[in-house]
Amino acid sequence: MQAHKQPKSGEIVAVLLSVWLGIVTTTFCHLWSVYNPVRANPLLLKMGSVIPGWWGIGPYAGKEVAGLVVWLATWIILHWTIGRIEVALKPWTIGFIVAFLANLIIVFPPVYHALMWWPALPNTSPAGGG
Amino acid sequence: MIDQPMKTFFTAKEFAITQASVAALLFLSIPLFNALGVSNHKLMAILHGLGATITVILSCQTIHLVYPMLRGKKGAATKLELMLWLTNLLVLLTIIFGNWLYIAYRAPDGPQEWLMYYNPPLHSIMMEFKEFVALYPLPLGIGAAFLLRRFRHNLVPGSAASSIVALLVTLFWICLLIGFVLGFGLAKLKMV
Repeated sequence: MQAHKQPKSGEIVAVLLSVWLGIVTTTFCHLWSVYNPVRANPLLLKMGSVIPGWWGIGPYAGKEVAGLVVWLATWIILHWTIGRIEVALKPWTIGFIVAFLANLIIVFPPVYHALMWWPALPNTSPAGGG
Repeated sequence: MIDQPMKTFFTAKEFAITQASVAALLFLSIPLFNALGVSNHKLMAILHGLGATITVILSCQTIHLVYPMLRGKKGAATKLELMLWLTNLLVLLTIIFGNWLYIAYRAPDGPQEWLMYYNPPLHSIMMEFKEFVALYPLPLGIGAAFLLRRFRHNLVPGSAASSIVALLVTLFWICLLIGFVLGFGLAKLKMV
């Protein structure tokens, strides 16, 4: 069998970490826009304006763009840094699972609304949440 | 005289193909029923529904290819990678159609206002959770497919790389199903 050069295990960590960072960025932007919509939403709308139809999608478009940019940018950076070395995969994998589940819990609306507050009803202004 | 067992009429493959074809046809008809509805946003609704349905069907095939890959079956990793890229493409398309549909969802007098008026948790819990979790399969699936490509020659049974690919695909499938079930539930309650 032909021998193949094995990529460094750091490449796996680069994927895990960048995926989580991208995901948690969307969560952070969303929680920020719930916590302080007056400050957050104009910026999210501006960031989202690269997406066609952003005017109708609202601040959600900005949350998507932020997550996408952070995921891809950190992936490139991590791939060329940590991706060139061997790292212990077990702690990173367990850390990723715990952090992924933690994000899934915090982004569940009853959790973050209980930590902050529930939105005023109905919240359907053009710059309103979403 | 010894009884000879009768020869079979059909092969296992024929049964499997028949079942898969009927399943695909009937499942795809679910979003297509919207074509007979009264919505003003049928195109986006049907595209998003069809995309989600095909993605979930393909993702089931994808996750079932993970197990032979973990056992180190020859050729399984290549097959899994191909299916994963195909599913990733459909995930991306479905997210794009979802964004398009979201414009009508949150438009004045749209379903968001309707749900917030009649039963706010349907929007503020179901939709607000679903719209984020349904994005997660994109980085998870692309990450898994990338690792499969990079480590395709080193995926021996019991290797860390193969189990991390399996972990990513499992999370990918779980998040897809959360998005699918909540989206389906919302569409049952109020069509866009």
